[in-house]
Amino acid sequence: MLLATPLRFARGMLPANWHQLSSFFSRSTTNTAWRGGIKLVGHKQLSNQVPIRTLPLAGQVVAVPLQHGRSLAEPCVHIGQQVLKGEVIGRGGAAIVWAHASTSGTVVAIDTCHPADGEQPLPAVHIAADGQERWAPPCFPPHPLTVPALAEFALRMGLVGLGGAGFPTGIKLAGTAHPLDMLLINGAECEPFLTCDDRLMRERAADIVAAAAQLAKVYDITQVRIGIEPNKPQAMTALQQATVNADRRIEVRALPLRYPAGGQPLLVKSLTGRTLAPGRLPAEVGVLVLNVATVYALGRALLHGEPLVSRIVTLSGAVTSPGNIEAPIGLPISTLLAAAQPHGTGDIQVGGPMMGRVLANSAAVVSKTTSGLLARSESLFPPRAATRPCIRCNRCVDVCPMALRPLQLLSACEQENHALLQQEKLTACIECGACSQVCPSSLPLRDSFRHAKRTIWLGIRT
Amino acid sequence: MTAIHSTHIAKPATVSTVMLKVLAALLPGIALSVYCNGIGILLQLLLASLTALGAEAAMLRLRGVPVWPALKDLSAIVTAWLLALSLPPLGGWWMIVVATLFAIIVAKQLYGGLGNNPFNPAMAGFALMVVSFPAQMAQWGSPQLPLDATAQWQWIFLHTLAPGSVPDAISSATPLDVLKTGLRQGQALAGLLPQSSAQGLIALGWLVGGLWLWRQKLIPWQTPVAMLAGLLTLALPLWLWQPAQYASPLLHLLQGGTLLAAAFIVTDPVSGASTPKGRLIFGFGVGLLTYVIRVFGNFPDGIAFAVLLMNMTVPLLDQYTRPAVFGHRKGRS
Repeated sequence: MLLATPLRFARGMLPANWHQLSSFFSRSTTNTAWRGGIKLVGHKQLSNQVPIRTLPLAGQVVAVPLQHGRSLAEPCVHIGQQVLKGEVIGRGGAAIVWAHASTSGTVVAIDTCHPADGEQPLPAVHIAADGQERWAPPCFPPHPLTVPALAEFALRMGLVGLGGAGFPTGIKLAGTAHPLDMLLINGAECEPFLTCDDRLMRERAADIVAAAAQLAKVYDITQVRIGIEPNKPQAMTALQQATVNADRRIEVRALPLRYPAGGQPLLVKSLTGRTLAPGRLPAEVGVLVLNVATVYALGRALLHGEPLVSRIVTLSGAVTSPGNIEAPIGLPISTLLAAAQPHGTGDIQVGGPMMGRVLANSAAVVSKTTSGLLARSESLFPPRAATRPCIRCNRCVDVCPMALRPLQLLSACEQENHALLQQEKLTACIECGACSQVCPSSLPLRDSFRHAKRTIWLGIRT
Repeated sequence: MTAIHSTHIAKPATVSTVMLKVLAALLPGIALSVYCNGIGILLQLLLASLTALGAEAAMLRLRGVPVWPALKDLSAIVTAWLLALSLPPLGGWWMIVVATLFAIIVAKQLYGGLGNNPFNPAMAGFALMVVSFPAQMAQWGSPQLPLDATAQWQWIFLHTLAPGSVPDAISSATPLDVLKTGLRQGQALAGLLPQSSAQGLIALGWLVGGLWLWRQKLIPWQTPVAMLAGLLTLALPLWLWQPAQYASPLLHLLQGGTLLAAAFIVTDPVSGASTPKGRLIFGFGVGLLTYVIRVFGNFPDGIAFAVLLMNMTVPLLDQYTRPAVFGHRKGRS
């Protein structure tokens, strides 16, 4: 009895992961651990309690962007033309992502639109919805399906990465000469608040598994692994049940519950133990990595002939009716906000709180990479303290999953010392923002790195 | 210029809260110090704090930097307290004032203020005093003959003693000093050992504060552990070899602010190494040098010089102990 308290105290003094010390001594198994990262409050239950909804579209005007990154499609419709849902409205040659009407209606303008999560206005086709949602005839892939045909098909079906970067999926699928032996599906959704992938995995697990099996078949890949943060037990169960009947070996694996578990190098590490060095492509270590929503969209295209015309958007934060909406691409943000009913008139966060940004334009529309709209409030998004000098406390170094030294990088950014930036491996930064999050001096670490990466990249090109 | 999109979640800590926690961690040791050495230590802390704030404010104004945000971060108070706790508790008022002025003005603000000082300000202040006023710095109050509060304050400010007081109460040397002088004069070690456990008790206070800071993830384990290891690396074999000549490792651990330094001084992030390996080397170096200066040098204690010497190595340590970036082999690019 007398010993109980000191023993409890002694156990409290041990690091929380003390039981993993054994794995430190037996290095025989593949090392899937990665250092750094931070624990964040998820706020997932705010929006993951209700099923995915749709909104009535009659009377709405959607503005479908024609541009995705550097891929710009040529509009192939004229003003006044009647279009069906899924009909091609923008096309182009090699490596161009095609655009599709996201609802049936009349083309009213070919102009620009502001994507919610973008900085620049993009050319877009504006369609006045008739509310009838009449689909164009489905468009199926060629048979037998080869890798180049699949890549071409993905471009024509308007597929881009739905996880955030919006990279054309067709270009990724075209891949390289490297042999692939694993398909990794990213269902981490490590950003707080966002639950669009969570609900998708819970409600449409069978479609995801079918799509994954189909992809594995095309690439002749024997192993498919789906990585999920363990704060989504229902999604894991749903996918596990769906994989029982799959004709490929599909595993559902728990990722560490640590931001940024969904960052590509860390996901690859967690699921395979392979190390994806900065600047390398996943194909170079034999894996193909796709976001779970992208896999689902690929499945709709491959198995149902539907192009990418909608995505699931999380509505959360300080709102009366949170949840997830399957929104057509180009839907005005104002329509979604009217459905969510924010409590105050505070700023709207587009995307997650870590990697997202504040909505800059109230006329913005849903793009293919708009993962969520979060109404900011003082309690959920406390204002940042004023910037103070660096005290070299080293927390940024401790949390950096890429083992960079943000404090040295920041001074290199401030001096615009390109040699030092290269020596400190600025290009390895995945811009997760963990360093900014923990900095007691509120230094703009990630933002400086982002800015420096852009300017250096431009500098190298010009 | 791209727009600023900071991360948007609750802040876990600010510089002010970090410093506040450091001050809080000092409290157990301060309480025990008051219990053992008397109320005078509180006066020293107060004098140091006021001097530090005044000096910091004046320097910030001269530098044209906003004064209030910098004062609010409490870093000046941390420096002041560490100095007050390192200097003799019954030293004259001018000692702590001079030491604090030097620490804040020269060692901190002239180098560019918080975050830019290569040397630990408190240790720079201590070193200045020990070099300039070795006699006064060697006079520690004797815990066996405590003066009452009035007498302590009178002594600190007026340098006068009430009639009937024992001069020993204010002028006895530190145990480490007694030991070194005695051993050099050929006295037996046993008769020189400190008769009270007061220093050991205070050291426990620093240990508790340090453990709490570690649990709060405000200090790494590497630096303190390495420092104690460095100290023991010399203290233990020498003691085992000639126990009559060399004091026990325990004495070295408990005396002369070893644990205060391990928990609060070598862990100063600004002037210390920033990589895990660098911290190990930094701490180990401080421990080794402390022992060497203590036992073979001329000064009563060696921690301040050890810390300042190791501060100089920090840029090199940081450069050569950099951990490999994800996906890179160490030493390659």
